[in-house]
Amino acid sequence: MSQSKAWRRDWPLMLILLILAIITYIPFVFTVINSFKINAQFFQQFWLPTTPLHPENYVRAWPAMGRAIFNSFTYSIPTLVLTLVISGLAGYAFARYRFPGRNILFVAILALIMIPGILLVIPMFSVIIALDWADTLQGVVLPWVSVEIVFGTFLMRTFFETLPQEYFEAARLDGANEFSLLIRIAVPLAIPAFSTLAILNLLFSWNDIIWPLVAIFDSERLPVSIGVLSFAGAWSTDYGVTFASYVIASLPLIIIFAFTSRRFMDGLSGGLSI
Amino acid sequence: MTQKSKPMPSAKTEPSRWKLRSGFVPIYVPFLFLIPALLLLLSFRYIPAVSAIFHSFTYWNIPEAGEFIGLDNYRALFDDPIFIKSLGNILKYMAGRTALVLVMAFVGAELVYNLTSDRWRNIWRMVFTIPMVIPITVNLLVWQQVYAGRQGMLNEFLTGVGAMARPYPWLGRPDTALPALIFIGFPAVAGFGFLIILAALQNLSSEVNDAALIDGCSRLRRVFAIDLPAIRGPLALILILSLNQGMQEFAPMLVMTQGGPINTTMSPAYYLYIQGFTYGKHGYASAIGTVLMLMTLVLSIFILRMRYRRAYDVAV
Amino acid sequence: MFKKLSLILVFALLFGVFGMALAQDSDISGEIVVHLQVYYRPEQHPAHSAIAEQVAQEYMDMHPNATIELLPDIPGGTDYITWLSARMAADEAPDIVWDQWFNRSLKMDTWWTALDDYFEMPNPYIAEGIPGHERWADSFAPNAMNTTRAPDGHWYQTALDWVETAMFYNVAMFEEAGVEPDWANWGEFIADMHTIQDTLGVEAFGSFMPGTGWSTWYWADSLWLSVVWADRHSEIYMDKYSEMQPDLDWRALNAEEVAKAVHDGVINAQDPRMDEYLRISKEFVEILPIDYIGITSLGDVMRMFLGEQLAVYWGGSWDNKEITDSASFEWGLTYLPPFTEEDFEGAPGTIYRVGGPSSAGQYGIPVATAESENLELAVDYLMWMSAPQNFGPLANEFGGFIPMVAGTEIGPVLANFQTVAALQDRLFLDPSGRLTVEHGDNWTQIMQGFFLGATDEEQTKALLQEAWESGAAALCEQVGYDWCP
Repeated sequence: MSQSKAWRRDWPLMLILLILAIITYIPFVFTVINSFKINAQFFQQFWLPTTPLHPENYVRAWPAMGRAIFNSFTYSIPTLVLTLVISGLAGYAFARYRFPGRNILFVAILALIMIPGILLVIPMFSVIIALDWADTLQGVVLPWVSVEIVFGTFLMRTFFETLPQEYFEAARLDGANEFSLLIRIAVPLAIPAFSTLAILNLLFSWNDIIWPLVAIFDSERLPVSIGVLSFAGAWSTDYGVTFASYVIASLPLIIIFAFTSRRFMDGLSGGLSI
Repeated sequence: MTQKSKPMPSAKTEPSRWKLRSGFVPIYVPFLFLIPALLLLLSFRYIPAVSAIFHSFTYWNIPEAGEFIGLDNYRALFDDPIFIKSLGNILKYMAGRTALVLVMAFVGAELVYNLTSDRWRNIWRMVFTIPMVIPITVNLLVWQQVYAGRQGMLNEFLTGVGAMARPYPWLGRPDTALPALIFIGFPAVAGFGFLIILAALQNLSSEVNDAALIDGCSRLRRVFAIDLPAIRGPLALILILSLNQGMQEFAPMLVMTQGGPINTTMSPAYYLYIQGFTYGKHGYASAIGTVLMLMTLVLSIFILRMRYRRAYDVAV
Repeated sequence: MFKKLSLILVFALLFGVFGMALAQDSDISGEIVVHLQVYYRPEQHPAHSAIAEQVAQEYMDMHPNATIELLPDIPGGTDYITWLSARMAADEAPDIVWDQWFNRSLKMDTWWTALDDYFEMPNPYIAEGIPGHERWADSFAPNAMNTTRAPDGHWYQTALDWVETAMFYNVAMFEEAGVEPDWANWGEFIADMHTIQDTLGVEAFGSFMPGTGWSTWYWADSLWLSVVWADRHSEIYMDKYSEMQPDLDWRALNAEEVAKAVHDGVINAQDPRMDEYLRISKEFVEILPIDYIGITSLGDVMRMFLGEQLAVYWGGSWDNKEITDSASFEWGLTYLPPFTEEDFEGAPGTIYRVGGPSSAGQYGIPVATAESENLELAVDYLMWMSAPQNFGPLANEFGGFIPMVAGTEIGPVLANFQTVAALQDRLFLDPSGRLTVEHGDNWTQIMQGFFLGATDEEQTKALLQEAWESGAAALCEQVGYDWCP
């Protein structure tokens, strides 16, 4: 189909999409605009840009945010890796094997989605204290992983079930054992699904406020989600610097999204369903 | 649901095909794969959850240990007009929110899916993926200003075009506060639901589509006759996830209304939070949480039942 | 620089005077974590945080076996109560930690160590001749002590500073509307606020009332109740509290006093005084922004004022700095009018100040610390920090709160709030501190129903009476006073 013909067909759809996109992006644009204001300007004008611009807000936000971004990676990367590994193993087991208790176990895991997060804060903290894990890396990471592997197991199971059985049969005839089947055949094919899970996982660990607030004692080690609030106070808030912090905090995610968008979609292309 | 729907492509892999001949794989292998997951879930989900359920039968004044009081918390709970009201509120919120998210995600996905240009399809997909990084806090702050009083964006717009004579306090009146919370983040296209639906649509065989178009089936008719039935599975998933989230919602209430006016936006999860952390009644809060869990469970089972009553594809 | 130098000089002097006496006491040892709320936020407020560090360092120099670790405040906008609850549940809270007094009154001895006995002891760090040297309690302001006394009669915290409130007003708006910021009575005030609404098309009076939790409507509500019940104050006062504060013949009510007055029927929602209360309350919300129920934070109200959409902003001493920095117009300070006989029969002829210890200098010691070997150190450090030579410079450098420790020089902040500070305290405290925190939310919800027309006067009064009774019953169940049924 020629360019112009496609365009003639597509423009009404594009127009609607454009309108939807503009409304969707208002909070985004608003955050960027306000990150260049000082309080006096912000109070006078909430929506539109004002002059002079105050790029020094970024300079002020950077030391705290740089550290917070670094901290967030130290929590998010182990969370990510463990979530992928553990969900991959569990999803594979559910997808490939029939074993006694399979359905009950799967439903029991899936049912965990229904727990209101706030309900478990105190009991979970008690577990962390009992393990003497307060203020440790694993004290933040393992509870996060345990939240994320629930959906992860579901997603990976759905994906593994779409893989044709024949691949495995052939390899098995070559004498491969169960673990090497997983590593050599299933994992390479599941890269897109893993990247979908990875992105969702990153979004979650990047934005969660309550658990790191409770589990981390050393304020130098707080992650981005709390770092963005550094300039908001109970008694006064530095709005411009706070918005600059939000912009800085979302940059790593936007970059990662931009580079992995295709893979992210491929992971869903198996058709996530229930 | 129409009867002529075909099993979707992903459904062709029925679990029974995976069944291995007995004795082929040692029975402990799947369990070996499941051990790390089960260990973690046991420590950080099941034990805390059991602890919370246990404490729902106690008078629990942290840090003291709970004092067992039987069903007293539950009795008080079903006598508590605020809790009862919060249940009604959350059902309305959940229904409204889920409908909005589902419809808008579907509309957005269809619009992108129907583009002829592959390049543009990718670009729009990206456009509606990036906003997922906007933190909920920023979103709520912006929407607070949309709904604000005299200088709120919505009021200025509506009085500006002459639709209303004077500004209306959207968040400050019992009749509009809850609907206002439902519409936060409008148009609600960007999100996980959009991506799942789009992926499912792109999975549909293009031959069926082309055939339908050649048959003179209009694009709009095709959406309802072919697309919608074919993506029932993904829709049910989004439905369950969205109902789940709606049931446990408390950030919008906390930030935008704090449950007011007159408790019309009080949600069970926010009430749990207040009872537990603000009033220090952690036993009572645990009872709220337990009821909330049970309700979500029942709801999810109900949806799955509906979904599989007449379906003949994958079983969970 | 000069400030720092003079500070060091003060320390050097004090050290010289007390050095000998203190040296003998240097066997105190241990390690404690101290949370000073906004007084220690080294990244956002380096200037006064440096003073907090210096105070801690001085102490450690004096007591080489003691370690004081200052914990930077968690960022605002995060959930303090969840943070503290989890730590309390696990016995992991800091050894000296901030909390609001009404939350402390809710938890009492399940979370906090009673400080009554220590308040009776001499504070060795306070110089001779300054109140507190012989008896620590003398160092604190009587009205702050009165407010922070828990319903069980104990003190679980220090009250080192205070917030004062006042109305910031836009001078140009007042001139344009032809209104003077000075009223002879409530009626005049309300009329003028309506003039502003009608002639300028802006919001008149900045206050807000969310569905639950604290708001500046709490202040208003406590004033209206205080005004209508003022004439019966002596019947509500209980001797045991009056004896403890003999120099106060007018003071705020302790939660027990409210509960007992409800129980005895001295205060009752069916009383004709409550008709006045409801009328005043309704007149008040009519001058508020149209979405006063939809606003959830005081910061949003201040933003309306600084954005010139609001003529009067009712705020606190902590707002002084932001308004000075950010207002692009001329502003002034004023306060609510007196209630006179013109307004209703039996009116007290005055208005009360709304101020209170809802500031950063509110520190308590968790029970877990009391059960450890660090209690002595925690109490001793609290004594050291609360001494005027240490706390005064810290509070004045921050500048948002008024130091209430005897012997502190009061910084420039108070100067602006002088007229208000000269008024008497409220009789009734904020709804959340009146009986229980839950009662406060209950009261709010009933009044929202009244303001929005969901209930009429009679229904509202019946509901208010129920709320009073259930609040009193809850307190009885928790504390078990001897007069309880």
